[in-house]
Amino acid sequence: MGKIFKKIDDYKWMIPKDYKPGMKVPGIIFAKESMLNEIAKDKAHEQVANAAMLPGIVKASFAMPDIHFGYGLPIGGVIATDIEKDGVITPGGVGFDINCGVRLIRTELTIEEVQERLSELIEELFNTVPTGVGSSGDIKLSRKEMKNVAVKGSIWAVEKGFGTDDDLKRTESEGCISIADPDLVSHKAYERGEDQLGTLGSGNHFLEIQVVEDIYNARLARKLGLFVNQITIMIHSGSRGFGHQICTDYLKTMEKAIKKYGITLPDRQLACAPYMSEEGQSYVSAMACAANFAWANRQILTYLTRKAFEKVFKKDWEKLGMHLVYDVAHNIVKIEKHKINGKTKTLAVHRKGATRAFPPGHPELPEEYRETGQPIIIPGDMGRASFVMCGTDKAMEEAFGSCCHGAGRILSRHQAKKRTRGRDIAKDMEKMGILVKAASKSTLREEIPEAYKDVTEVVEVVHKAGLARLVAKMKPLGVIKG
Amino acid sequence: MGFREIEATADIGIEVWAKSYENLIEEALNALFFLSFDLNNVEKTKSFEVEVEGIDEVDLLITALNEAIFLIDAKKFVFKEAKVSKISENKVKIRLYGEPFDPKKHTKKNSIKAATYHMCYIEREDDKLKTKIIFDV
Repeated sequence: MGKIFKKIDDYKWMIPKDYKPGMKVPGIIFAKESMLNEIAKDKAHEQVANAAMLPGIVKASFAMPDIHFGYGLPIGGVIATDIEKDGVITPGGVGFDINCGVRLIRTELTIEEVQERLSELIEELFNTVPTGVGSSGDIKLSRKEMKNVAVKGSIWAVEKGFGTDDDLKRTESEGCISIADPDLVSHKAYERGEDQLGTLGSGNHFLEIQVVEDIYNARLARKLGLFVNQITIMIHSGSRGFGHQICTDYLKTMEKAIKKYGITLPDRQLACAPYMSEEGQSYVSAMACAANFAWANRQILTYLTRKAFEKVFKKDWEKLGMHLVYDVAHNIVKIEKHKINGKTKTLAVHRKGATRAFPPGHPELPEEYRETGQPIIIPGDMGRASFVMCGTDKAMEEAFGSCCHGAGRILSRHQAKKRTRGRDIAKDMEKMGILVKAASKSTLREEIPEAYKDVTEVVEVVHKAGLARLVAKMKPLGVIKG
Repeated sequence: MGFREIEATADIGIEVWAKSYENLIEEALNALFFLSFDLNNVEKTKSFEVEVEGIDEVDLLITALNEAIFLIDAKKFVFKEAKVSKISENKVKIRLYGEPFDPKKHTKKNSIKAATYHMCYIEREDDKLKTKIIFDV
């Protein structure tokens, strides 16, 4: 282990630049010592080292404590390239589910008010929110309307009555990246996405009713409107088939681009092009379309959730206090300004299974969160807990204002299924006091809590490394899944 | 020839063997169908024909798989079998056999987002070809 990871401090480990030939910067992994074995076994550190070879990469190839083996960049990976110095952009640094992300909705309901209605609520949510593999929603869009979604994102959803201006303010990038160009998206992508807006999807995507169990920072919690025993709702979903197809299409473009620009890479999934090149510009403009689609999607899922609560509690969602706390993307490239060796640079920051964690005072934050720092939503597995944190100056100094995105898998889906043969997971969860309703029993077996790292340990590392501050812990009460 | 599932932490990996390059694509497609649906109830009443291009053998293989993933997701089809014929060095013709997806009849197993290029290679050994593919799920 000592050969791969060099200790910087208790929560920060370095893969030196000479670990592999071709590395332009070192790898930095935020983790505690007991996690390193698992990381090495998974070979995720190799992917950190591979990403360090990307042209134009600055500072380091970073990985968060929820790191695990992905493709191209590991999950939990953060890299930034200097776009003014031939820095590249890579779809492999974003992933197929462009702008997969999470949002947290708070309520004024307490556990006492919800406990008895929980099964009714879960039933209602399951009937209202389309879930599952390739599920179709009630909204089928014309090509023209799809292009509007791609350009406007959450703004489109709000204009159509699926949300409010406050929802937009509390969404990363206000739910819309302006450089989206819908003409750079293929017919195939439109076809794949046209009936998937307002659907949850399958795999690790979920909608969860939670209760705030613990508050770690009373001041920040108050500012975010969180209190003990409060009911919250977390939504995890992405850009569905629309985003997957955009990534697929542009990987093919990048395969050609690496030959054109003479870029050599250790892994074809890292195929890339200079950000300023035609290929780079086309990808980022198409990626923005998928990101916008994902924000519109989570906004519509929010609308459906509010409807389900209104039906069960026979009160308007505003009266139930169902306001958005925040929405974060965790698979995306953002153009951001960061200081490198004292100089401000414009960077293409790739976060793949990592969340933005901007500090207090950052101009991109909404007024109400200028003082707290950006709220960060960290989902755990369906049995343990989820967390809310806030961004810090240290995250900005150390890792381009980034932190972890969740628990991170430790068991493959295959292993999880093997381990759960013959088990009824929904029943097991019910014994733990958590109601689960899923479109597929096999998805539930893949998503068992033990398939994930303990999210508490992950957020502890992030907190102690100073990348984010712990604010609140939520425990799951009811979950719907694909 | 055949395929087997291999470990990939968050995704699904497969190893595929075949006697020819065309057969390798067919077997990889069969693996994709097996991972996506319970094939017991799938009938071959309809077929799609597609042509795919790649810059090399790996790209062509991955592109063929992604084309089938698109048809499954966008056209709402279930496939059971694929026949592949080579047109030129970088181009193949694929005929996919199956039927429209019917939620009452068919069971979906995994929602595969895409086939990745991650560490994908094609190995030739005597009269056998071997490949490893990771799917994002």
